Formats: sequence, C-alpha cells, structure tokens
Amino acid sequence: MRSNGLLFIVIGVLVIIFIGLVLYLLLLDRKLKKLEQSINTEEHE
Amino acid sequence: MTGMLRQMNKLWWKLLGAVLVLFSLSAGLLLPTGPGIVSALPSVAFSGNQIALDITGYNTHFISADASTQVWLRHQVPGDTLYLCAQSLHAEGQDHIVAHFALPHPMPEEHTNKVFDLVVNNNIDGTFALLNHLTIRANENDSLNRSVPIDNCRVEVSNNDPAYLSLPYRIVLYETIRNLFFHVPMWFVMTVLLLLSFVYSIYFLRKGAFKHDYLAAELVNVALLFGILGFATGSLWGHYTWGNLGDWLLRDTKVLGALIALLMYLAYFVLRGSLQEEEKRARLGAVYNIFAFVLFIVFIYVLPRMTESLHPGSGGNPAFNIYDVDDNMRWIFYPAVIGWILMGLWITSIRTRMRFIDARIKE
Repeated sequence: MRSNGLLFIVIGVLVIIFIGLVLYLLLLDRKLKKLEQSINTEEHE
Repeated sequence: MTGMLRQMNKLWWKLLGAVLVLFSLSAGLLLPTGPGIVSALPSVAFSGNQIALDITGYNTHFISADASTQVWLRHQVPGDTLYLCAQSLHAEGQDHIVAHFALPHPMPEEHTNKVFDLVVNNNIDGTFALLNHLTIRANENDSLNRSVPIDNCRVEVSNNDPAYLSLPYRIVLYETIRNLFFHVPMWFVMTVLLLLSFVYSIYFLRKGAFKHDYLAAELVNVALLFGILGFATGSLWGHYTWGNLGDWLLRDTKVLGALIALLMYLAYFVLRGSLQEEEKRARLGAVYNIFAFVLFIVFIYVLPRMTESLHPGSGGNPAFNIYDVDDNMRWIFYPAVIGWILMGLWITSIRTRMRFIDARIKE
C-alpha cells in the first residue's frame, strides 16, 4: 500500500528541502567564518 | 515596510515561523488520505447476468463499517438516473469487498451499452466512487429468454464525508497530495521575498540608504534558495505523477517560466559582482531588480494562465481550484505558507545583519 500510495515521494520532497537548507547553512557558516577572521585581523593590527 | 529592519532582532516571529512549519509537517504527514476505489473487476458485464464485483479499496473500512456499507451502480442521462443496488455484500478485508448484482434484462434503451459509475457508501468512509467504470452490454444470448425486472432502488445516504479527518483521495496523486504543504510553499516564499526585495529596491532608489540595498540583495539570495528547492521538489513530484521528467520539464509553461526566473535572478548577482563601485552596484542592482520582479510575475503568474500547463491555475482556471473544496487542506496549507515565509525572513535577517557588520568593518 505504501509503494502504490507514493508516500516515498513525499519523504523524498522533505529530504530535498532538508538537504537544501543544510547546504545553504554550511555556505552561510563559511561566510560568517570569513567575517570573524576579518574582525580578528583588524583587532591584531 | 521599514519596520522589517527593526523587527530583525526580535525573536517572536521566528519562533512563530518554526511552530507553524512544525505544525504543517506533523499534520501534513499524520492525516490519512480519504477512502477511494483502486480497482473493481469485471469492468464489462451483460444484462440479465449475475455478477460478483470484486472491489479493491484504498484506506477504506469495509470490515469496521460492517452492515452500513451500500454499493450501487449509477448511470445518468438528462432527466433520468438508473440505480442498480448490490443485492448482497461480502467484506473480505478492510480494503476488499465483493458486491453481488443481478443485472436487469432487457435494459432500457437509454441505459444500454453505457458505462456505469460504481458508488460506495458506509458510515465510516462516507461516499466515494469509481466513475465511468462498468459497461453493461445488451445480452444477445438466445438462450436467455427470461426477463429480469429493473429494481430501480432508492439510495439513501446521510453522510457523504468520511467520519474522520482526512485529505482528499485523488487518483494519480494518492499520498503525494501532501506535497501541496511542502512543494507549493517554496514558491510562495520565493514570491513574497522577491516582492519585498522589489519594495526595498524602490526605497533605495528614493532615499539612497545602503541598508535598503543590502536587504534587497539578501532577500533575492534567500528567494533563490527557495526557488531552487521548489524546482527540485517539483521535479521529483512530477516525475512520478505527471510522467517521465524529460517529457514535460522543458515544455510546461510554468516550469519554463520558473527556470527563466531563476536564471534572471542569478544574473542579478552576476551583475552586482561585476561592479566594483558600491554606489553604482547598488543603483544598477536596484533598477535591474525592479524590472526582474515585473518579468518574474509575468513568467510565473500571468503567462501560465494564458497557455496550457500541467499546473493548476492554467488556461484561465483559478489557481488551487481542486484544493479549494477541501477545508482540511486549507488549515494545513496556510500555516505552512506563513511558517515557511517567516523561516525565509529569518535566514534573510541573519544574512542582512552579517552584511551590516561587514559594512561597519570596512568603514
């Protein structure tokens, strides 16, 4: 019943959204790291 | 509208967004789909014969509903509807029932060689049907000389809706009707964020404050994330329901419009990245953004309505026509849309605040 009810597609859609958000957060994290580094170097000068 | 900058540090709307998304996720996954008929055999019968119709249901409760189940065949012509009721029923499982009919002979002229609807009702599942299913042919077997009178039964039904909360059963879609709560809000978020970005670009051109330019740019950035998510989830959904991806992906007007819109907004960042001078970058970016939004609306919301598209709301139909009937879906769909919009704004506010810090460091 589950396979002919196509429930796995709903799960697939949720997995896509989750992975997309995680990847985006990783990029944002990297951006923040650069920002932190630029503050640190400024303090050292 | 400028209130958005002031609200960026507040917590309440972010939590509200999270709660709404959580609600739509749980309700959207937990609610069962309503009853339906997957198949019924045979699909051809002859007048005067006894037939045993073997019905396979989906999310039905034939055993639990017990004696309340009624099964009948229906054929409608203007001014006259013929009902043929099952004489006995035998439930073999919650989703399996055998209905015995004694078909009349001879059939009235206007109901001969016609396709009948198969309709089922019980006190748990309400009324559901397999439309245009059983063809009843005239029996030309000479040995059949007896006539079977028409028992044009009266069907009495008090409950058309299922007795439990459910999502509508639709062939082709089945359980994927739930994707309405997950795929569609992605596009709503994109649209709302792009609308806000459009507004802040106008603000920037009028007042020249860079904070508005930063906000406009970050709104487009997050809108692109949701656009890509909408595209990816839609591709998966459509591949299993509309058919092979390659057959429709670049032919459906709305999908094409979405693809063009995504590329158009990617070009916005290419444009900004290619300009070194901040004032110039902000001005050109704002002007481009204003035009891009107008085109976005045309590509996604205007053109698909005027042409053919597999999406609802095409060819002049109102969008969401098939879903509008169902109140249960609305109560999950709207919270999902609002919740995801707030989540999008949350990410935008983080990016914008980072941008403000960056600008202060560079000063």
